[in-house]
Amino acid sequence: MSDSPHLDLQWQGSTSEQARQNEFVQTHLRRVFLIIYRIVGDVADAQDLTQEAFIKALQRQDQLKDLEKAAHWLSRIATNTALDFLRRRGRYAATGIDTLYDAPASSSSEFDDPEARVLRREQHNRLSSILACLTPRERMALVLRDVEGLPAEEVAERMSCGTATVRSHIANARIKFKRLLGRTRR
Amino acid sequence: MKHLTQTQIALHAGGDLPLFESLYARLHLRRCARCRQQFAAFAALRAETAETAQELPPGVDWQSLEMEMRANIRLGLTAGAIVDQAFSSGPDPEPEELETKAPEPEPAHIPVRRLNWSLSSPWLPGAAVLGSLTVVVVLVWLLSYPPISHAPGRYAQAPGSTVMTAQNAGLELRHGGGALTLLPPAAEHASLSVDLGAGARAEYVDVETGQMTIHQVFYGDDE
Repeated sequence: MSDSPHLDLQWQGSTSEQARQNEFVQTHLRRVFLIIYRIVGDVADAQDLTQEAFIKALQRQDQLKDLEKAAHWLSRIATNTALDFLRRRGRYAATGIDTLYDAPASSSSEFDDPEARVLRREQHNRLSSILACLTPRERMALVLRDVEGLPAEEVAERMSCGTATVRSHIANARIKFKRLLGRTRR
Repeated sequence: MKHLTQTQIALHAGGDLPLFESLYARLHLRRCARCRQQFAAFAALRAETAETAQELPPGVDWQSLEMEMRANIRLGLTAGAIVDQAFSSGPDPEPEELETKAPEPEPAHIPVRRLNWSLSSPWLPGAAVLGSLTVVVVLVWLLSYPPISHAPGRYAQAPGSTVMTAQNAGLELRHGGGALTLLPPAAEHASLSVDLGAGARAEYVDVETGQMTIHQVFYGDDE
């Protein structure tokens, strides 16, 4: 690790700079992928958007002066990238959810308890199905507030709307979530 | 007694009510079992959502997905840097000019980078210095490492080992009797380079569409 608190990740082909970039990617990749996946609801789209977010971030890294702010800054780019994607497409893709039912077990989970695996899969599918029923803005507000733990004011800033609107989205999303969860558990 | 609305309970469960409404909700919940039950359900749901959302979707092989994403990010950064370089090196040349500079059938030298600089380019003095330095470095290298093949675009580690060749016909790896060739796309303009620290690389740019294809072959000892 560098003694300096500043990131110096300029792409100029230097091995050490590339190593730092790789470390930056490795540190944040899973978290960013999950944020985007929860917003867009499809693994393939989340993969593309995660890559896009990292490329944007690393190309604009001169804006990043503080390592401690790096994660926050990257999340902002990731959510903006996901939001832009939803705006362009105009709807939520629920196609990934069906494929998850038939997806083969990953190699890392082969040794898990089968019951626990089934339960986890059910929880995931339920979460994905319910998220798919929310409007994009409700889903975004819920993910940023309840999963990412951002304060409502910051969620409002990210979504370019007022705090009252965000509170309305969050309340609607939680109420719908509770209602739909009750139905799926029956 | 007037109950709290679903919206109020849902917001209070996440600490999202404004101060005075929050105080009122807290007082009400002390006295109302029905609203308290609703509140507990919202709070539990919120916790479950946060926990489940942190896990990867079932069926996702994270290791391979991570590797793929990391490689694509590296590729995207490289392509972006090349595009930046192309834009910063002056106005686009005329198509005829590019055609005359299309890759020749002979193998490229080590390292070769085709740059479309005109005589009036402000980069010319820098290019001259860089060119001179390259010649000196290549000469020193050739004199210092006699076992290395002197064939253009070719790097051999030792007799019988893998040979990497970068030429206009593509990148080629030869080992024993076998060969692996990465053929170039139908591109008008190519830039080839062999970097002894990282491997062989070919960049192809389609002049008409601007589409860029990068072939990079890395080599090195596993640590």
